[in-house]
Amino acid sequence: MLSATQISLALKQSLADGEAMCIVSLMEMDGRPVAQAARLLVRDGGALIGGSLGGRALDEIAARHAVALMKDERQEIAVAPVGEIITTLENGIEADRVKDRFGAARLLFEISRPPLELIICGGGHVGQAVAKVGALLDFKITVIDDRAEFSSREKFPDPNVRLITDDFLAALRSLKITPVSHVVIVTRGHRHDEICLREVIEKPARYIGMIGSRRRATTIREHMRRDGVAGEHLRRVHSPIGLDIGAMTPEEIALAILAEIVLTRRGGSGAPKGAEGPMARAR
Amino acid sequence: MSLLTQSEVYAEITKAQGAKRKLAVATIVTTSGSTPQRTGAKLLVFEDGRMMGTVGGGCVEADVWAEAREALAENKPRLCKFSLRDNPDVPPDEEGMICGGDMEVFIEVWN
Repeated sequence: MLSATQISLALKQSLADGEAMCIVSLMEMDGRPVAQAARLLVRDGGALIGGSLGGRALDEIAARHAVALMKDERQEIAVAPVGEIITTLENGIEADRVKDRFGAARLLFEISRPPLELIICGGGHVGQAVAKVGALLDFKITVIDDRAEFSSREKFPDPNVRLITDDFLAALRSLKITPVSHVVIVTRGHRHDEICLREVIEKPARYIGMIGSRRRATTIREHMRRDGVAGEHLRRVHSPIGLDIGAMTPEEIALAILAEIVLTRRGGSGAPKGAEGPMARAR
Repeated sequence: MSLLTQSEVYAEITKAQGAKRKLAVATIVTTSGSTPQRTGAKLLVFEDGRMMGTVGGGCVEADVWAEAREALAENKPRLCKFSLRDNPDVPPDEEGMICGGDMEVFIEVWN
């Protein structure tokens, strides 16, 4: 049996490594909830890092299902009868044995993911508003500006916001950009925007967005294409940035940017949900 | 609405165990139809009735809390089904929300 302390430590380690972890619990057996449910811990990469559900074959079946769930970012929790997840995988003597014993049992899969990061290039009005809305959505926030007065605690009073005062290029190079990173490029000028974009465009960031007009976005893409940046990378860049909600103030622009980031993560159309209401004409 | 993370939940369990106190962890494991509740939401209920986290508020939260207290008293886990559809006792406008859906809550007791 895994103790709460062991689970706690494993979670901490996995998230610190930037990997998701799934806690699988044997929740129901023979139609009844299980007391002191057996648990299995599975890492993103498929490694079983502790515990057992009561048999090696069952653990393997559960782990494979956990890994599949972790691949889909929208998944946080799922319940599955053992019988159902066996049929979707290959059958064998071992699987039949598991089915006989655990077929009707239900497993609970709970996924924890490392915190999402928001890297804001530029501490101006838009950058400040993006930090506020980002904090509301539980992002771990880093702000970069080469001007100390714009990467200051005065402008970003939230103590959880990490501030870097440095040249944009040097600052971005010092950060590890991973699949949980979201990069919002809103510096004071297009020259700095382009420097930032060039630095991150080939990194595995989940989202890269750059402020600017449609014309400016096209020009920068053209420059980069000429310099040999692959089309697949250029197409990933959200520029002009944000959903079209008619945003005008920095706060509204921040809302549009974060709405686009949520859309990227969760899926959705970005269209009004009420087809019959006053938003119908917007469609 | 900020939901409790797994890290927070297991840290709380560890803390309660250190103080030799029982703790019930209620998790919304499935929902169907339209409910304001979200799967994965957790409510921790302590022996003194104190709670932490949320399963979405409203009347459902009070029901989950009551079930969790019973589970604590019995020292047994429970799987509860809640139906938010056509509650005959409470007209929707009085409840302040209209939701038609079912949800299943797993309540575990940690010693």
